[in-house]
Amino acid sequence: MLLDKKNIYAFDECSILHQCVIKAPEGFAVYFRGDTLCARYYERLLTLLSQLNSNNIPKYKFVPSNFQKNIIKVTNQLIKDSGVDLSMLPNTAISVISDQIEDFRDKIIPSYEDINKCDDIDAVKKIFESGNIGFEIDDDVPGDDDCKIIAGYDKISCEGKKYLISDDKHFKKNWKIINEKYKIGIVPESRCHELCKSS
Amino acid sequence: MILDKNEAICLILGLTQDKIVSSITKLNKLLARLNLHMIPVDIKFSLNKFGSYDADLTNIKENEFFEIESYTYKGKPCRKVIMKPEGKELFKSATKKLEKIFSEKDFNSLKDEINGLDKLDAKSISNNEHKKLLVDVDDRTHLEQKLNVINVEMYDLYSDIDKIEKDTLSGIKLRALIEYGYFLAKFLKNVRFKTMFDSDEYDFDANMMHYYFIYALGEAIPFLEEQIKIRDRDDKKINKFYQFIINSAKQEYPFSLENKDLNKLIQKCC
Repeated sequence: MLLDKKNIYAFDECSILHQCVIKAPEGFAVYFRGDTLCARYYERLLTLLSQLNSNNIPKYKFVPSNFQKNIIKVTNQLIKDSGVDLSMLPNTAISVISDQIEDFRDKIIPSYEDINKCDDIDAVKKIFESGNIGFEIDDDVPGDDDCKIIAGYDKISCEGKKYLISDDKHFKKNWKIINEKYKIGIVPESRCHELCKSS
Repeated sequence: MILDKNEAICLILGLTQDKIVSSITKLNKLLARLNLHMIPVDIKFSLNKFGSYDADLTNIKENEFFEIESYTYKGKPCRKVIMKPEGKELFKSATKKLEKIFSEKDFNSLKDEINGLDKLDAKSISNNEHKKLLVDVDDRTHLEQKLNVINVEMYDLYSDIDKIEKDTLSGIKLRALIEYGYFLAKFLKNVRFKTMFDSDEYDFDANMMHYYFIYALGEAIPFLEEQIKIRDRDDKKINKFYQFIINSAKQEYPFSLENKDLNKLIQKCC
C-alpha cells in the first residue's frame, strides 16, 4: 500500500469541503438536475478518506483557516459544476447551500489535525519567483496564503513523504518546484485515490 | 437551527424561577411566545380563541426530561409541569443552540419576559399575544395596514439587494433574507390574506406562522435597512431573523423551503 503512517496527508480546506454532499433545497428543486450536489471527484476523495481512517492515519488541515472565502468558493463551484447558472439561482438557494457547507465544516473540521501556516513567506516567495517557471499570467502566481501553507508544511518534520491534496490551480501549476524544493507531493483531487493503490 | 418540542419545553421550564409551569395551558402560551423572540420551534401552533395553540400539548406525557403532577385549584383539576435533572441538561443544550442567534441581551430579555408572563394567568398571556399579533377581528384594519407597509418596505429593500456584496457569508445571508422576506410578504398579502380583510370572521384554526411571520418581518425591517448600509454587520442578529423567517416553516406551511411547489407559489404571489 502506498498509504503509510510515516507519510503526512494534508488537505487544503476546499478539498475538505469537497467531501460534503449537498441536498438541493426542495423548494428550489426546479433549478437543479438532481436531489444532491457534490464535487466532481467526491468519490475519489471518499476512497482516500476511508483508507486513511481505516488505517488510523491522521489527516491534516492548515490553520488559521480562510473558511469564509473557502465556503463561498466551494458553494459557487458546486453550483456551477451542477450545471446551474449561478446568476439565475435565487439568493436564498445559494445561501441554503452555503449553510450546509458551513454546517459540514463545523462537524468535520475537528477530525483533522492542525498544521500551522507560517507567516514568514519571503523565502518561499523567492523560490517561486526564481524558479524559472515564468509567471506570465499574474493569476498563476501563488498567493500569500498559498505561500503560508507551503512555509508551514515545510516546518513539519516527517519520516516519510508529505502530500498535499489540493485542487488549487496555484499548487497544481507549480507542483514540480514544490516537490523539488520542499519535498511536498501535490495531489490533485482527480488522482487522490491513487494514493491508496498498491505500488 | 430549530428546537424540538422537548428542548423548547425545557427551555421554558429552565427560564422560570422554580423550574415549574403551573398548567398545560400556560405552558402552551409560553411556548408560543418563543416565536415572538424569533426562536424556531418544531411545534405547530394554530389559532383558537385564546391565541396560539398546539393541540398535541393537551395530551403531553411525562418523560425523562419533565414530570406532570396533577393537583386541584379552586375545585378544578390542573396539571403542572416540573423539570427533572435530565431536563436541566436539555435546557443547557437548548441555550447552547440559542448562542448562534442570541446575544446575551436577547437571552436576558427572553428570560425576563418568560418570568414576567409566568406570573400572569393564561388568559392575560393570550391578551398580550393578541395585541402583538393583531389576530382579533377588531385589529384587522391595523393588520391590513401593517401588511401593506411591510410589502412596501420589503420592496424598497429588495430593490437595493444588489448593493449587498456576494463575497461574504453575512452578505449572502442578508441577500437571502431580504429576497425571501420580500416574497413571503407578497405571499401573505396577495395569497393568504387576500380575501380575509373583507371578512368579519375570526381566523379560527389559522396556522399561526402567518401571524408570526408578519410580526417577524415588522421587527426585521428597520434592522435590515440599517444592515444593508454597512459592512461590519451584526451577524448574530441577521442569523436570528434568517433562521426564523427562512428555516422555521416546515412542509405543512405553504411558503416553506420544504415545499416542492415553492417556486410556483412565488410566481403566483407576483
